[in-house]
Amino acid sequence: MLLYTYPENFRAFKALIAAQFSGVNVQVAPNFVMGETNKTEDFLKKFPLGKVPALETDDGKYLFESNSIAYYLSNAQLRGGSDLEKAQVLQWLSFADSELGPASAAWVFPILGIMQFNKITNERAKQDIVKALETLQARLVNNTFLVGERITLADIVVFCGLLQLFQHVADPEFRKPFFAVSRWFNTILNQPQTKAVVKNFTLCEKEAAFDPKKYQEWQAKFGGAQQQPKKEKKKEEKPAAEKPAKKKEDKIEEPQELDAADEALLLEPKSKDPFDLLPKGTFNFDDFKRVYSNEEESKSIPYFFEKFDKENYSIWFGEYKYPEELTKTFMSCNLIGGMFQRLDKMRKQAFASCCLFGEDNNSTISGVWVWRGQELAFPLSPDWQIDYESYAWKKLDADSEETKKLVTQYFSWAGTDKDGRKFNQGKIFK
Amino acid sequence: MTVETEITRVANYLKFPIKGKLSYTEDNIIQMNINANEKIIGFSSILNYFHNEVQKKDNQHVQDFYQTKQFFDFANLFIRSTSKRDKYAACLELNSYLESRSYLIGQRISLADLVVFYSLNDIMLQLSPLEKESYLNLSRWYSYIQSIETIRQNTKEVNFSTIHLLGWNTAAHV
Repeated sequence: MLLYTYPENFRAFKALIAAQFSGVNVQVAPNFVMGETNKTEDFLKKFPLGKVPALETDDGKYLFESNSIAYYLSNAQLRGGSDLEKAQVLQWLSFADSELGPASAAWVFPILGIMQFNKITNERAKQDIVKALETLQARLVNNTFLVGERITLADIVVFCGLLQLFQHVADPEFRKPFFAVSRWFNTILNQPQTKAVVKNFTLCEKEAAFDPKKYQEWQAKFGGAQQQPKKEKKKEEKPAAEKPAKKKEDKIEEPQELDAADEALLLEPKSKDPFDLLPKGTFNFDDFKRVYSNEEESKSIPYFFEKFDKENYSIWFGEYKYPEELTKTFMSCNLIGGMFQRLDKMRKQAFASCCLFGEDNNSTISGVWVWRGQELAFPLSPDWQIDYESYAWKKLDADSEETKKLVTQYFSWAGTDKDGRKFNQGKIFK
Repeated sequence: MTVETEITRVANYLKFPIKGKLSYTEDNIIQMNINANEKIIGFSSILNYFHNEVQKKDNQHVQDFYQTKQFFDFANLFIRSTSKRDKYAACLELNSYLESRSYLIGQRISLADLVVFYSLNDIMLQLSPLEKESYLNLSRWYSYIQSIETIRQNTKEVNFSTIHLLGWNTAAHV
């Protein structure tokens, strides 16, 4: 049997360790080049996803997804004895994928220079890992292994899921409360079957720190694939895929191909408020909104510019792209109202004044928006993506006179649009 | 468990033909015939004989080899001690030793696990659920070794399930 993978791929380790235990003969495909072999027509015919690890059996059957491959290569003991044990194996496999995988990536990838470091993401990832380790600890304090009283695929898969953490960031201090997990990890690590696959592993002595230089080098080499909004991911996959081939020259430690699921989760963390990811500046929306509601514009607008924190917040101009479709003004107002409703969760960290200019059958919609962060806020949450593409967005320079004029005009519901249509109605998003 | 039973079970585990080879000396010390002329006398000596036989087949690390011998002595002197204090001190010591280990020596079953397991059986059977709880790591290890049929043989089963039935949070007693 032939396993396609790049070297040191922890997902492929699951399959290779399972095969060591069961004695199934698996060869790693020689001459496999990540980003080339898996883009060939031949490979895609067998594995349309174009991802590795991927398994080709002797009788020409194909399997993708590392868990299924590892399961296929397992023996009866690894799969679990009773029906309950089989289900428990499955339970820990899912746990490794959903509880461990994304958080581990969020913590480790910046350290490896694959992703930009973000303090809040980092802290959340640590919290998620602590929770996952507490779950493991609760089981392993009373039991030698994860399922039943024997090594199963659950141990192998969760072990592989912890490898990067225990190598790069989980230092002795961090591991200390999880003594049972450490005990179990060492046991799995030191099985001869594991040792045959996982070589050169050393337990983390000190948490590695984010190195901006490493990140820049990596970015320069492989492009900003991870920074793009997720819709563009597909096209960007190639540069990301090239890294394992190059890694040997520059000794960047095992940059892994980001799994699409990991990426999506990184971009859309479990948090209720996607803005939590972005640094919190000094500008307080609640305070401003209170002043705006209670005071004259002559006071509230200077207050806005006085308090505005351009480092952490940005001002945008959004203009409806299809004014020719606008008919009755009340319908246009509903259009704005509907958008505001759908963006409800944005309210806490955003403010906008949208204006309708003109009259029935000759009108335009445009508005000035303020939100946390320097990028377009809508891609942060899938809930916010219904309307924004119907608008043309322009980021405004917070210091320029033009912006001041525009903000003043929109916040005070005055003036005309760029073609001279008079202000008709306004709506405030707050 | 008598030393005779314990030696028989170790021999069974190793698939070493033991039937009819065990007897007692005049002063009531256990002995084992290896051939027509040679006898090995004493519990520790017989265990060490097995241990050497295993070593011949199964080249373990020198360090592990001698550490196993140390556990034979530990089992003999402390676990099988007539003093109650020694026994409980042994449990405490094993419990803290096993916090970071799945097996007594290295990362697999060795004769040390077998011998300590058999020697502990009497003590473990007498422990109250709360005591088993306080020897958390020891209980975990014991219940694991017990689950291996080829080791357990007819050894009386120690019940750990009451711990869960009472719904105690085991981890809180560390």
